[in-house]
Amino acid sequence: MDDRGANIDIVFRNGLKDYEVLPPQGIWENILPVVRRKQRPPAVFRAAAMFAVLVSLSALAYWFSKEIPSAPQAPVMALNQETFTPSPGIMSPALPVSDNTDASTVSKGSFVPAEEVVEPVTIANLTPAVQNPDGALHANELAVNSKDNTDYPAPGYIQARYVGLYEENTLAPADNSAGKAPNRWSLTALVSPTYQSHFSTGTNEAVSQVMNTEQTVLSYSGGVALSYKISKRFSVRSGLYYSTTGRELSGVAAYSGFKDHFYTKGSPNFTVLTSSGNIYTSNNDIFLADGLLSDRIQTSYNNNVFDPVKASLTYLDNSIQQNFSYLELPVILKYKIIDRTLDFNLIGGVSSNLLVNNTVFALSDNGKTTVGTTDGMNIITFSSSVGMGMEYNLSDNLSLNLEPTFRYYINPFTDIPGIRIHPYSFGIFSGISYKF
Amino acid sequence: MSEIKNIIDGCLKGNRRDQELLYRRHAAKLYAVCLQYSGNDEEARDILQEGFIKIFENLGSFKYEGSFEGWIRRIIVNTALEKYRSRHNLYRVDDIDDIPERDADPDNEDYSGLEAVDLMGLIRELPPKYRMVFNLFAIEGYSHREISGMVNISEGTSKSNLSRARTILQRRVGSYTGFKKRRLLNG
Repeated sequence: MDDRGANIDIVFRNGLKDYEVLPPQGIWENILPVVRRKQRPPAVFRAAAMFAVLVSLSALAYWFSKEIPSAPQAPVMALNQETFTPSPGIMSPALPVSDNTDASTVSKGSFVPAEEVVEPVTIANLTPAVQNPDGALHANELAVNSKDNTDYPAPGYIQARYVGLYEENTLAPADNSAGKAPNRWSLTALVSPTYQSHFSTGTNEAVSQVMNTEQTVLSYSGGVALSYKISKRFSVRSGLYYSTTGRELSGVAAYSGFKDHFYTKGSPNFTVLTSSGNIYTSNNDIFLADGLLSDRIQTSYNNNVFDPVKASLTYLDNSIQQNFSYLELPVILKYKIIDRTLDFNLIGGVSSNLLVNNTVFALSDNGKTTVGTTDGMNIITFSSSVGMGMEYNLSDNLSLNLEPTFRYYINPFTDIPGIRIHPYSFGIFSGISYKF
Repeated sequence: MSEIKNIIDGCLKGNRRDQELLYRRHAAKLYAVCLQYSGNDEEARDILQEGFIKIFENLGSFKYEGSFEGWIRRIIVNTALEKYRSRHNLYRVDDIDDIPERDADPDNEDYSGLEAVDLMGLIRELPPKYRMVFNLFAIEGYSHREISGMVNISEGTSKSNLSRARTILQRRVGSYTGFKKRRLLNG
């Protein structure tokens, strides 16, 4: 029985080996959103991730700022160099020193432990060269002994005098700029990839359905800004930025070659409902078909009257993309929290954004094919932004910037009845500043 | 292999074009497998859809150690198996358990007139538990021991189910080829 059974097994195995059956239409359109949804974490997780990155970077910057020594210590450090031997002529008028070598004559009320006096200034290296080439005096005497044993605020006095001498005599080239006016202006070039999403208030059944099939595409923002330092901590910045943003509409299949078949004149062949407004096709060579939603595309050329496959139209893509570009004019206030080699700033401001490009296109192997435009977009929108900026000073004039920024759009991109969609975006701006 | 590797790499990076290409390339063959394991078209569509989602989810675990076609086929078969298990209690085959052991001689049977579409139709007419065992044993090449673990039946039941599936198929093939011959002769 087994052998005879195996015979029929072979008949079926060989007979079905290369058998193929075209699956019904629409299956891929059901698979795609699931696959893409699983590949992309939900917006809330993405937002949380961005927030976590923002906080981590800020904490890191704060930690680094604490680690890096502050600028005023630099001259003192210069005095520690063993090669530094200032002339007695310089030092003698500045330091009232007696022959008294008794360290116990340190003033009563202003006694400061010896380590506090000596260590920051490292007078030990200076003393022999200044007062006594034989090396007879102790370092402490310089700090505390005077002819009348007057109370001196020893550490402050010494530090002030030594630093003063150091500055006046330009003993270290690093401090040459001490007498210069501070750089109040700076020119900054910044660029950032941005991730945009939105939240909505109100209800609109059709738009809510449509939003589930839309994905945000990665956008970019960048530009040049001029900053003016109002005070030690505050500065204001403005400039001109260019940004792009867009959305991908899944399930809207685009075909080219339709111009030989359409006969409508004076109105768009297709209208596509999106959360950013209606898309009107301006390219009469494009045919659109929706594999996901039944009411998203309005046209007289639906599947019942026109089959793009039978008409041998060229398949372009299974989605179309909306692309918007803006020119932005920001006014940003910057508050410096930590002023060190690595500065740490809080940034906040508003921006007015002018819509300069509004296109809808289909991507294919041959590049972009224009489909049309999105109708009803607000020409001017306003956004607010907050961020945390880190500025690493490469030199007196140059610095590197990193600014994780959250931006919230105050008015929607478009006005849709029943629902208000407020976009927001995250970006990590990086760039370089020139101070002058 | 390098072409499929490029497509898989593209899919793993989330490239929609590669994802669609992978689907379009294999959908027809895998849908035939789905039909072979299901009694109706709706179930076949579900298997194909769920199977492809699993394929995309698990693409990263494909190690290029065997054929990609074999790997994705196994995922589809496993999906069909899961569906079968979930619906197992719904299937009843008592009404045909008393089918006589055989009424045809398979060695002398003429299968030449049978096309793939005929064979598919015959398999799909089998009761689900016979169809599942016949597919796993005769088409996929699993042993009765493996099948017993996959379908949660004993090896004996697996053998019995296979035997009954073959009997049904032989009888139906006989009547089917006879019908086709008669139709040809009668013009």
